[in-house]
Amino acid sequence: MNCKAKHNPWSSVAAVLAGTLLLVATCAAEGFTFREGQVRQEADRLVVNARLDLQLSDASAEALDRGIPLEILFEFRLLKPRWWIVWDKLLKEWTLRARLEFHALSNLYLVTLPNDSEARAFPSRADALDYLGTLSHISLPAPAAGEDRFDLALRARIDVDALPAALRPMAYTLSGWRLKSKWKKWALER
Amino acid sequence: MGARALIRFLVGPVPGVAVTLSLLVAVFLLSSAARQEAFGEHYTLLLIVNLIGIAALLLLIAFNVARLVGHLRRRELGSRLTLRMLGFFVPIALIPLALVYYFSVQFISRGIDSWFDVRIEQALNDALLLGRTSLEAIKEDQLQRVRDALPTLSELGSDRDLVRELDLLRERAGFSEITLFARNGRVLAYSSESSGALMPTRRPTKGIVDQVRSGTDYANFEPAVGGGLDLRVVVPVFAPGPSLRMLQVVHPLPLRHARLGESVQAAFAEYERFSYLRAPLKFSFVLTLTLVTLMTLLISVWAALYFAQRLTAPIGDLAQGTRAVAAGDYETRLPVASSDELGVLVQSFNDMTDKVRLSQSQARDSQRSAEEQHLYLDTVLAHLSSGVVALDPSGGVRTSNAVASQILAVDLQPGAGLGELAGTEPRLQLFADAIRSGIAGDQPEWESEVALFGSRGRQILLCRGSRLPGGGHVVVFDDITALIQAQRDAAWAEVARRLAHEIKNPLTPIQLSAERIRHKYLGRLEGSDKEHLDRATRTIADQVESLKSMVNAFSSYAQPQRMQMENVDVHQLIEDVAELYRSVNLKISLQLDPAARDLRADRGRLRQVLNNLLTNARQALGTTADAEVRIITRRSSGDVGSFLELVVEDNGPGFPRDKIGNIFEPYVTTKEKGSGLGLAIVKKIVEEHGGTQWAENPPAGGARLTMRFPLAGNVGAVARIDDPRENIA
Repeated sequence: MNCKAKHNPWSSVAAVLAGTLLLVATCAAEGFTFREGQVRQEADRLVVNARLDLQLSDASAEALDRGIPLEILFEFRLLKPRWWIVWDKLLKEWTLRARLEFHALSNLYLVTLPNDSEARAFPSRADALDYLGTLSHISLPAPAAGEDRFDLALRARIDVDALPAALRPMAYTLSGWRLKSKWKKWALER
Repeated sequence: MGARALIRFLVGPVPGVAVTLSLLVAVFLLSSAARQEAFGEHYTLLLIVNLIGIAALLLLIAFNVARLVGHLRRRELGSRLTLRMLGFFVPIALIPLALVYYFSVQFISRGIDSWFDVRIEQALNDALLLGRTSLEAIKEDQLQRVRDALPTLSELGSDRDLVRELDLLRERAGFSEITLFARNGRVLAYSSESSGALMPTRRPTKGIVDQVRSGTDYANFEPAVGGGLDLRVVVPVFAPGPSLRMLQVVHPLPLRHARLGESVQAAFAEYERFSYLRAPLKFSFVLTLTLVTLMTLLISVWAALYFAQRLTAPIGDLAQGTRAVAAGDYETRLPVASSDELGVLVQSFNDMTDKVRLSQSQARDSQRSAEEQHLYLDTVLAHLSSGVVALDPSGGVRTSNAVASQILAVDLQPGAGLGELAGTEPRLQLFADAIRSGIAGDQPEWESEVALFGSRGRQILLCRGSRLPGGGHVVVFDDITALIQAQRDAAWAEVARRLAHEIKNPLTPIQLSAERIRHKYLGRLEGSDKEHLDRATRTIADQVESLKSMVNAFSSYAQPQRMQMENVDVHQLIEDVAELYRSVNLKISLQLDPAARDLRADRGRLRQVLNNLLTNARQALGTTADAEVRIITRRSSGDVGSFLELVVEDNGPGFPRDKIGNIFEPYVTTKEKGSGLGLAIVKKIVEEHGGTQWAENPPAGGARLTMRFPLAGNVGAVARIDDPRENIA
């Protein structure tokens, strides 16, 4: 939280060049990883329990500590595999959005889930991320009748578009902000 | 599209303009995306599109530069000028752009930095620290109050006692909510100042539970529902038995403290957020500025390349066209690409080449006409039977026809002077003198007859000269030797015929009279008279007989003979005749060319030729030691066909120099008793066969007589003279 450091004007130019190189070099920094999970079919619902290891990069952790709220998306996709093509058919998708922010006065990390009436406070970032990475009893509607074989995919990522406008070019450019997990797929049969 | 069309397309304006427009749109969209106005979700794509556009522009520039380097290496016209213009244009664009970029980066950095004040930052930090200290004091106070209440709670057992005791504790201590949890997190008792609340608003998180289980109290302020801060305290409650309980107390911060705290938190958070965004903000601005600058730079370089090439193209075309004209290509036309001064210059060049081409065409036509006239004159001159020599004013040969060289038997080279001609060929001295005399005179035309003497005998030329307009002279001359000779031969033939007629007639009565006198009076006379008469009549008879022989010879010479033409083996004939003349004192050697063997001729008359020549040779050699006669045949070719040459030469004294010119005329003889008709008859027979002959004294000594007979197939090419008199007529 020290913002006294004097900024060299050309550091931005260097950052632009470095960012351009990094953008070209890599787009696959893996900060979020899937640890374990299961999907259970209950009547016409799919109940997901999963644990993801959410590790912030230095850049995103610094932004969080400096008052920038982060929005983490949990994306669910219902897919129908197609034997004749690599890409699956997208049947339906849902997004679960969670907000993580730092409260400087209380020195707590606050997590706000869509269905929660109030934020949950955590004394450490690790606690907050651990809470965020635990998905319990996420209930999703099952596909319509006729879809006997289908896949459910899950991915977590930081929503860069939800960042402040000034931060987005850097977030788009630098790999430290490209935090997202790989898609985890469950093959299901009705 | 062929490679040439592709290159023409790449160096044209379309790719550069298209990439430029695309880049402008992409940069605009990127700028909008950065400001979160629109296209935010496509920011990365737009950034990549920009980079691809810049790369495309770079490739376009690299292609143009490589092409220019190739032109420079090949020293193509206009390439150096293009490079020079590029050297002007690029710095003009680059230097201001670099300056603007430098100061813009500085301005952006300093401008954004100026938004932040160190003192404000310090004040906010201090305020936050003060707030935290104040809250810490409140927290410690509340924590102590909770701890004070713990002994009472530890002694309680039943749920009913717990709820009542919690109510008393909450009311006594002024807590807003108090909850007792079991070890497993179950709510054992709950008390709230809100009468409607049945369950606690918060439950201890796993971290709090772990902390409390480890024996450490938890106390912290947490944002409350609806704003403000709540103080949550969680402490362990050691009840009888093994189970651990946790007491959670939630107490809202006093309103005044809460407002102040929220104010400090909000202000600090806002400032901190802005402070953090300072670097990303600079990054965003500098990224856009860099892209725009790079794009502008590349567009400027490309435009400099394009316009430099476009400007120098007409100059290069002009230089190339000038070289083509210098090389004689007047068909070159340059494209007029503009209406400016360069266009006017190119149009003027095209007009000039048109005029030059027209002049060149006219000159070519004139030259062709002159050449045709020259060729015409050459043809006419070449087919003239007269020799023609054009002289310059100083007397040097300017030009001549082939007949002139043939008549003079010298190779007349242009530039040779008359003096030089006479120097190399002394026999032409009279000819040169006659011409000098003619051109030195005042008359525009002159005529002169010149007699030349050489190894081929006497040659008579009739020369006519004329003064040419513009200086110089033309001399036309004919070899009239044959003409004069023919006239002379005709005269002699006429004389012979008259002699035969006028003399032979009285000879018979004379002879008869003499015999009659002899017959009548010889028996009557005696002594010296008888002897005198006998001698006189015999003399008369002998002389008459001699006269008759002479007249018969003349008659034979004068009368035309009927030719008995047949294929004659000349070699066989020569060997037969030569055998008759071979003797101890005369050696006859033959050099016979197999290619000159057959001749269509009158065998008898050809034999007479050989007889006459060998008789003459034998008489000429007389008592010469090692007397030898060589008979040579050979085949020769000339402009008018092939000939059989028959040469008879001896090693005698040769022809007298004063007679060699008319040795073939009748009565010309070198012998005391010769009739003078031997060679004249030879000449006549040769000419009856369409041939020619000449006599000469070889440099090695002796006499040589050469006869040239036309071979079958080209007899018509040589004048055939059956009767000299008819020819004269």
